[in-house]
This record gives sequence, C-alpha cells and structure tokens, in this order.
Amino acid sequence: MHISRRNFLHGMTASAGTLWSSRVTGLDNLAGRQFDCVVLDLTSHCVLGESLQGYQAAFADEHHCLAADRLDSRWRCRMVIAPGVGMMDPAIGRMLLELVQGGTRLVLESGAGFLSPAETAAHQRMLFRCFELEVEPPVDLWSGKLADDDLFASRSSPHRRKTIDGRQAIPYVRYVWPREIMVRGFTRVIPVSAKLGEVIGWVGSLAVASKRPVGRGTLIFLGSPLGPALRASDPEARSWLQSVVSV
Amino acid sequence: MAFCALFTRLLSASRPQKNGDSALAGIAHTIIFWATPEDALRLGAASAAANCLAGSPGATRLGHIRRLQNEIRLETIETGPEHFRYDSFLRSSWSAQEGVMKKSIGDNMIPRGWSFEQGLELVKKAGYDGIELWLGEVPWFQMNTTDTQVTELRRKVENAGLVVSNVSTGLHWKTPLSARDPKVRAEAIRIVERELETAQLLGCDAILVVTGLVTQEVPYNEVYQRCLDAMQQLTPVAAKARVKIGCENCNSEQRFLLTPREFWTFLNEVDSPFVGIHLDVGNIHDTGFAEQWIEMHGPRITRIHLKDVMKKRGRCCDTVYTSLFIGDNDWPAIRAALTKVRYDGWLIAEMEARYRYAQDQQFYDTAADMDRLISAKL
Repeated sequence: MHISRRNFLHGMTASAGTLWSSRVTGLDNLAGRQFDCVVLDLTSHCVLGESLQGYQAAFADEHHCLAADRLDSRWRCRMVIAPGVGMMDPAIGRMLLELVQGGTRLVLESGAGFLSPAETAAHQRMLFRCFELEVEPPVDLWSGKLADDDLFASRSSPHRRKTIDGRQAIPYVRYVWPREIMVRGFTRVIPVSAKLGEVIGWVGSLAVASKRPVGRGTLIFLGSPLGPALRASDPEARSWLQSVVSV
Repeated sequence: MAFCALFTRLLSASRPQKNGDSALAGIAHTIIFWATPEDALRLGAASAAANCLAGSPGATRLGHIRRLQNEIRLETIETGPEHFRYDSFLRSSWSAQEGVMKKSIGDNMIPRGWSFEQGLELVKKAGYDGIELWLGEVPWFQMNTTDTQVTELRRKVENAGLVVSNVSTGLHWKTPLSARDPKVRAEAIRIVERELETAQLLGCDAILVVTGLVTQEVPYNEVYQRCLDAMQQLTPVAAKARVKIGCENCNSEQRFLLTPREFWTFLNEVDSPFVGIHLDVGNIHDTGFAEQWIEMHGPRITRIHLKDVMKKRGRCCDTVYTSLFIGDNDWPAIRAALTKVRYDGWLIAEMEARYRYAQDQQFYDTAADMDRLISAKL
C-alpha cells in the first residue's frame, strides 16, 4: 500500500488532535466503562491494607484495582469489592449503592474490628446511612484463656478466647452461601443484623456475614475480614471468593 | 589481570567433585560474571547452605570462595560516604581481633535494685568485654529514654571499660510485628526503629528482634507474610543506620521458623545484607541441633546468645533453660561449628534461669564457662 507523505502527515495530525482533545474533554476517563471485577482502594479509609493486598493477590490479573476517587456510577461492573472498610465518603457510598441498584454485586468488608470505640460508632453510623446495614460493635473471639498461656506465661502475650453461648468459640467463620466452607475468623468480628437480608456466615451463633438484594444487584457484608486469609493463601478463603465471583 | 587471576583461582577452588560441589561451582561462576557485591554476599550464604545440604564435602573450597569474595569486594567497591564497604560489613558484627570471640551479658541480668553503674562494674569485674542493652526491660533504657540519656548510657559503659555489644528487646512478645491489629504492628515497627536509632547512638551495629509470634489466634501463614512485610519495610532504615537486624530464633516460644532451612528461606525472601539471624543456641530444643544452625547460617549470624536447655531431663523450676554446660546442648559440637564457620564475634550470655541467691556470682560463673567454651577446653 502506498501512502504519500502528505497523507501520512495528515493522518498523524488528526490522530494526535483526537488524542489531545479527548484528554482535554476527559473522554478517556473511566465513565461508562465495563468491568468484570473491581477491587476498590479506599486509600486512607481502608483500615486493613493487607486485606486489599489479599484480594489483589487472589484475583491476580483478573481484576481492576481502582482508587475510590475514580469511582463512577455510570460504570457497568458485575462485581465490586471494598476491602477493609473503616469509614467511607458519603459520595462514594452513594455511588456504590447506585452501582448495586444497577445490578452490581458489592462485597463490603468491614475492617472495624480494631478501631477505637468512637471510630467503631462512626463506622456503624456510616454503614446504616449508606447501606442500611445494622452492625454491632466488634466481638473478640479470643477472650478465653488458652492452653499454652501457662507454659509460656513469661513470654507470650495473653490471648483469650471468647465463650459464646457457654461454649468456647471455634475460631472459624462458617459460610453457608454460596457454598458451605469454613474460614478462620479475624479475631474481632462485627456481628450483623439479619433483619434485612440473609445471614451467610456464622461464628457460633453470631451472624457475621450477610447478603441482601438491592435493586438489581446484591450487597454482601463481611464482618470478619477475608483479605488477610487470602493474602496468606488460605485455600478455603480463595475457594469461597471464587464461588462468590462465579455465582 | 588481577581479575583473570581471581577467576582462575575461583574456578580451581570450585571444581566439581561431588554432587553438592557442582552447586558451589555454579555459584562461583555467577559471582565472577554477574554478581554485584551485594549479590555475592548473598551467594556466600547460599553456598554455605549448599555446602551444608550436600553433607559438607567442600568446606575448604567454600573457604577459598569466601576469601575470594572478600578480595573481589575490596577490588570492586568504591569507598566513600555514599558507598557501603561490604568487606567491613562482613566483619563488622564480629570482633576487631580476628579469631577471638568476645563475651557479653545482658543488662537485664543485673540484680534487681542495683544501679546501672553498679551493674557495669560487676560486668567488667567478671571479665566481660561488653554489655547487651535491653530496651524496655530495665529502668534506665525504655522507649521514652531520650537520645541524650542514651548517649549518657554509652558514656557510662565506656567509662567502665566496656562497649555495647548490641541492643535487644523483649517488647515484641507483647507487641508483635505479626499482630492482626495494624496499630499494634505500627507500634512494633516503631520499637525496631528505636532499637536501630539507639544502636547508632550506642556505637554498635546489631539489634535483636523477635520476628513474629504464631499463636492459636494468628496462624503461621499470616505471621510469615507480616514478618516479611515488616522486615522489607525496615531494611532501608537498617541500611541507612548501618545496623543489622538479627531475627532471633525463639523456636518453641514463637512457633515460627522452626528449622534452619525455614529460617534460611525467610532470610532469602527478605533478601537484604542488613537482616540476619541472632542465633540463640539454647532455643532450639528438640527441633534440631544448634551446631547445624551455625553451619547453615554462618555469615548471616549477627550475634549469638548462649544458654543451655533441658531437652531430655524436664524442666527446672518454671523454665527449660539453664546455665551453660548442665543442659543438653552439645557444646563441643557447637564450638566446632563456630570454628568451622570462622565465627569470631560476640557471644552473649542470656541466663533465663537466675541464681536464687548470690546473683552476682552467676556473672562470674557464666564468664568462666564462656572462657572455657571460647578456649575449646570442653
């Protein structure tokens, strides 16, 4: 094919102009884009950085990790995961809710287990205001005395295991949806009310994970962070996440 | 020309003879052709491990390779404020006088109620060369001790005719680097940073860190990943301070990095000449043999803690640890391994079982035991 110098220069100029104008007008942003799975980086509002890393590791190249300030309610995505949520900008919360109403499956993982009481209270208010989720303050699963405390009393830090319903709590979350599986609980779990949805994860008799249809989508709440287990390559955690993705 | 001569000598030193030696030959070639001085140092550790795994068939050649590595470093590394002397790094944690190990003891051994000055006098009289300062365990050295006060501690140590062998801490038992709570981890990192800062002020080049704590609550894989993250975060700080982080092997209490091979893999993943192992020969219990840890980690050993352990004869009071030579450690084997890897650095007494009476006597008795170990009269 023969291309004259004039045509070549003309084509190049047109391409450069288009590229420049799209940048200036913001047409190259992410609005209206289609994603399969997005892991949302809430930056300073993500209080468990290792949880974010866990989801990134679990999905490897099969996801987009985007900062929350780039979130756009015009996105079309099948699934959004918000790991280690501490607080959330109300605008981000609104956009996430709009996405769910439009058909997205949102996994909202609470990272509030280790927050201060004041921060936890703010976390509870934020979840209710943005997502109508009612959660309780964290429950420490390790408030009972362990067998080896005496053995290494001089060195080990005291770990205590909580007694729930008069029985020593098993340190696992038992997920019953989308498949039955057990994953180690993350020390302090956030119980969730089952008033507006279906409980999908239990620690003993405590409901710690729920799902609820919202508009055309689904809101999944995790009261015991899964990300750290994903990061530690826990096979059950990865398997559960895979099931949630493929449902 | 000198480079060609080195190459020829290295090849002859690493000529394959047995299966394990082929690994050494490969390493030698890599050192010559590709390795930066930093890599060469790491490969030194790798070759030590290859040697250990292959049943020690090439100990002599390994020595040759190490010497050649040193020569290569001396020839290739620029010196100056911006360039780190790897040759001096290799030796710096060990004594100035090659071949003579030095004795130290922790200031947490100083009898309760004694002042720091009284303790230093006792340490000097008992024949030690240095003292290990325990951050957070003695009233004179806490997290809130100011830089000026730390400098004053150094002055007191030097006035007593001693030096600070290293900085240690037991604070990580309560505040582990592997905690699930990010705030606790941040605090744990700050403790290590303070150790590094104070080590600089005290004029020593090594600190002890209890790396992580596996518990029923926090499982092994999480601990491993967090400890790796912490060490990688701390490496630049340690490099800037020119102070090495010695991760202690607290096998039974930590339930972490239980074998020398596992520890070696961890250090490989951290991948920094500023992170090594602070080896406690009493901590190995039934999970192995101290002498094998020494062989395997050789140049990566930053300091050695000495104590004995009751492996077979049950606990003494509330601890399995006891004074040197009355437990179940194989001391002649440990001494031989120290010779094998040419360790001539600090030996630090860590007597967890204290004398109930006449506690100052334990300083003298332990120093005498250490002298016997150093002189190999066992």
